[in-house]
Amino acid sequence: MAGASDLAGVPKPPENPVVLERVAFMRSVEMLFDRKTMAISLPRFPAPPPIKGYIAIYDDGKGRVVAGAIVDKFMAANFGCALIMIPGVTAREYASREILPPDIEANLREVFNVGCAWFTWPEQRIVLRDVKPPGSAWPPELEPIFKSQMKRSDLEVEITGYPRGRITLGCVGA
Amino acid sequence: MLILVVDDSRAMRMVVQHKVRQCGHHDARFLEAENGEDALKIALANTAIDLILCDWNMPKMTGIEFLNKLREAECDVPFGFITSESAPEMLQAAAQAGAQFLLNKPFTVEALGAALESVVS
Repeated sequence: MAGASDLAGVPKPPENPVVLERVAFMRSVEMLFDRKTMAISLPRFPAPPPIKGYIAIYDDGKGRVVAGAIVDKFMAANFGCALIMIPGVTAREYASREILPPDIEANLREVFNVGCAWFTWPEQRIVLRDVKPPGSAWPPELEPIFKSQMKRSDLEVEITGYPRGRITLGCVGA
Repeated sequence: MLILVVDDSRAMRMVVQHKVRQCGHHDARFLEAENGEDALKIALANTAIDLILCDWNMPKMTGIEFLNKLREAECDVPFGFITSESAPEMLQAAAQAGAQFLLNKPFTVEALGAALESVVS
């Protein structure tokens, strides 16, 4: 059924961002690392997913948290290493540690920054606010987002040359 | 070609340089800065710079502030943003300030190549 704004011929801009679909996400990762990337959708975890890795928190540039990304330790190490072509064997070793070395963590943060593109929101900004290390408590603004099953994407990702890792993307509901 | 690469991420500065070479500019030479303030000093002191590739969000001085100050100083070196910012008002601000292009991260080598071609030619 057409909404009032449709009937008026003036499309209403979306009020919230949308998680990039799987293929577009793969393409985004390929562009960043210049490596063929495969991603498969996982059955959705019970909400919210367990935190055993790093959490990225995104806001709209005005302080409202609108999206988040959670990566397991493998994905975190892969992102931090692949950005500057550190090989997969090293990423695997880093993934076995409690936290990543500071320079790899800095790279991961930059990947999360580029990861603003994992959410589409025409006419609006999405800005990386913070990155939380493993063991952090659930950021209170993020928990309701990840409890939503409709606006979440759980993916297993293989970047060629790197071990498989998992990422969960979520954004605020419509 | 001498290119000033400005980004607060050391990794991203490396990525940009690598991708410029992948575009076929194997002889490109690079200067680096990690914020707009340092970049401004470098740009005004080096008249040989052919192109500036700059992030938007950086500490001390943002990319757009850097570009505005550069143009105020009547330095018209070609300038491209490479940023995760994509909001329309950012594009508009970049164009008004005199940027030649704005490339969103992540970007393909082909997209960077086309952007470089547009300013180098």
